[in-house]
Amino acid sequence: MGDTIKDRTYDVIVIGSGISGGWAAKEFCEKGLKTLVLERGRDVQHIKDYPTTNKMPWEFTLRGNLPLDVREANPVVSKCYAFGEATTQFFVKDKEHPYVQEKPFDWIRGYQVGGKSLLWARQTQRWSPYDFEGPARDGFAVDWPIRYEDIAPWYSYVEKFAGIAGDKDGLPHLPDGEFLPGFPLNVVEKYFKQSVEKAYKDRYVISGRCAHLSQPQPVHLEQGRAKCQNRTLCERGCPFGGYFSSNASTIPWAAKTGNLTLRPNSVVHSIIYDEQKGKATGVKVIDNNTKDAIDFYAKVIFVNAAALNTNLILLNSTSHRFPNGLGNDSGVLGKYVAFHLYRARVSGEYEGAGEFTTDGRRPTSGYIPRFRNVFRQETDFLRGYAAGFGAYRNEESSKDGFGMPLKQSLLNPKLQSWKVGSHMMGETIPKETNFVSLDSKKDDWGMPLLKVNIDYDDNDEKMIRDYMAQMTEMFEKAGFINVKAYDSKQAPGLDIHEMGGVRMGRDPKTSLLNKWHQMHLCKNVFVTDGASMTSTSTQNPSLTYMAFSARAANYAVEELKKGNL
Amino acid sequence: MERRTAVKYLFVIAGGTAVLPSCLHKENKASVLLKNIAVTADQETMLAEFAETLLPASSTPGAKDTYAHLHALRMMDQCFDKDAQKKFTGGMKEVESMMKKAHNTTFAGASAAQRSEILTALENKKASEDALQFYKLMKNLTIQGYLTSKPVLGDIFHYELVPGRYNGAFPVKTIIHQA
Repeated sequence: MGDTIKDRTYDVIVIGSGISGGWAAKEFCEKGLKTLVLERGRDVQHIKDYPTTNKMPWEFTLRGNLPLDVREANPVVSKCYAFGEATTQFFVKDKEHPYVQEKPFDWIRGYQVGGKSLLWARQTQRWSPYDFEGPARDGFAVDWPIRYEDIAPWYSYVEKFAGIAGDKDGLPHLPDGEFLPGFPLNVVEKYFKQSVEKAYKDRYVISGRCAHLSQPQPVHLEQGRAKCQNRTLCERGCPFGGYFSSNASTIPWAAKTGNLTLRPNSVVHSIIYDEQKGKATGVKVIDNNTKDAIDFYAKVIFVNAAALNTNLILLNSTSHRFPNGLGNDSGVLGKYVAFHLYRARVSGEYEGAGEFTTDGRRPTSGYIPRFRNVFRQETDFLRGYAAGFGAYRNEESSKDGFGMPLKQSLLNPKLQSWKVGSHMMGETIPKETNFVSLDSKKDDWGMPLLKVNIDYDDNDEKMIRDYMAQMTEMFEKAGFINVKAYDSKQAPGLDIHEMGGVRMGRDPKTSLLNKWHQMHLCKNVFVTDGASMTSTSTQNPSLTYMAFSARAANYAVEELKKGNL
Repeated sequence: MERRTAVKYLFVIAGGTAVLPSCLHKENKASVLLKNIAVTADQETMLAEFAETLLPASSTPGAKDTYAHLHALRMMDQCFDKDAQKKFTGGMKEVESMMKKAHNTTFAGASAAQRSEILTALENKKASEDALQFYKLMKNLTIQGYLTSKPVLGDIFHYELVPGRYNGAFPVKTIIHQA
């Protein structure tokens, strides 16, 4: 790479290589645009950089456990279910990248090429018309400037390429997509499905749709990906490319066009705004290794740094024209952050189906689409929750005694009765009082620390109680025993579904982005990651980010052709 | 062999001979690298025999075959706090004292019956608080190391890295355990 301005000029800059940035890069590169992808972390190449992917359990020094000093040095990331001896290399350690918790917030991050797309739970349910209509119907946040019909074709577009396994369930509030064969429910999950669907006219139990290649199509083979092998060791990185990640899919696809420049170790400091031109001209980067500042230039800038870091970059992009952050005349930037309510679980046991167990493994489980307040307001809280549902049997053995009896017991474990479990995934209401802002302290790269002010509210507490009561009732109606509801009281953040702060809307006075994810006040800057979300729905958001990114990138290409950007 | 390589080997051999004796005999160190707890080679031998008494070899592997005692040492060294580590090493010495008092021998030098007698006392909670703490920790970690080892999890339970299937209604009677 030379060092003239020309050498540092591209058609498009994409900030971030995670699930949404990867999609933006793929679309731009396919359309022939010279695209620079800036990634703040190190490079992680598919397969080559998955050091633990093929290790047997006994090949880990601590058999999967984490040393005490690692847990003590990382109180936040240690709470994440996926952080273990096999995966520490893909998670941000607490001390490396500090932030300010004005209220407790567990911020889980993956700073590397591919971002958290290497680590995600791979659940991919579409949003429905009722989700996009939610804020307008229920009078919170602002109206989404788009509807389901706007995004539906783009769901199809990304589903076909990413590969989504699922069943056609015919539910208006969880639309079907372009599915590969779904993973089956097991015998007890099927029993629960029948029980629930008989007892309630509006409640369903389906197989969770997930980004796994249950039956690869030519487009997947062309990506070099193969059938999901049911390893369920996904967070180590998959040598088969069995699940969708930027690393296995969009980034190498974009690279194949010859139009991609991927620059790891590039911490984006701010977006450069040119007052004369009335638009952004580039991006200021701090090199992760040298700490030198370097400017890169492009006609279009996509911000896909993951929700809260996208907020951080825009808040830090100050100029004479925008002293409070890029495009932030309204003062809304950083506000109306929301997340998913993951606090409660319900567990139980089932004494039936004793003649069956499961064999092999499965990358998804049962899913109960939202049934509260879907078509009309019915409860004393707004919105509702979806829930995961799974049934499994453990083998256990007594650990009493020692010698041959103990060994015999350990080597002949007894199949236990079925256990059932559910966890909630609730929609939270974006509020002005849930916000992020910049601290006066700076990090090693000269970036202000992010201050996080996010908390639960009464609506959340009511929803948690309702979930625990309803799921308990559903479990008991199915004859499950020892039913227990549990509120973990975990802080927001651990759901890893933080959204908003740069929300879409129709009015520049109350939102930052228009219906194309384009900044109202700086037309050549687009935000298509979680930061752009006006509301949160109950569905896992990544599939929607993919669809948004593809749609916005294709719009930007058209606008570039027309000379509008 | 090139001269350069040959010279390098010579140094390795010479260096090895020089280092080995002090390593094995003088320092009396455990065979795994420990950062936080002090365990001698003799104590490591005692732990190996203790683990083997918990899970003896027969037609199926014993604890020593799976190095479960070394797993216990690594875990104690890296995954537990100072208090638990103190109880473990203190309790380990107390168990040695129990053997000394009862049979005037070391745990490693004791007969199978003498070892069983000590473990019976521990299992029945007839020992000091520290000895019982040691027993609880050592037993749990030995079991953990044993069940996650290659000879057991791999060869007996046939752990599959790549199952390639899921059957949600698998008849129980087809499950065969061979142990």
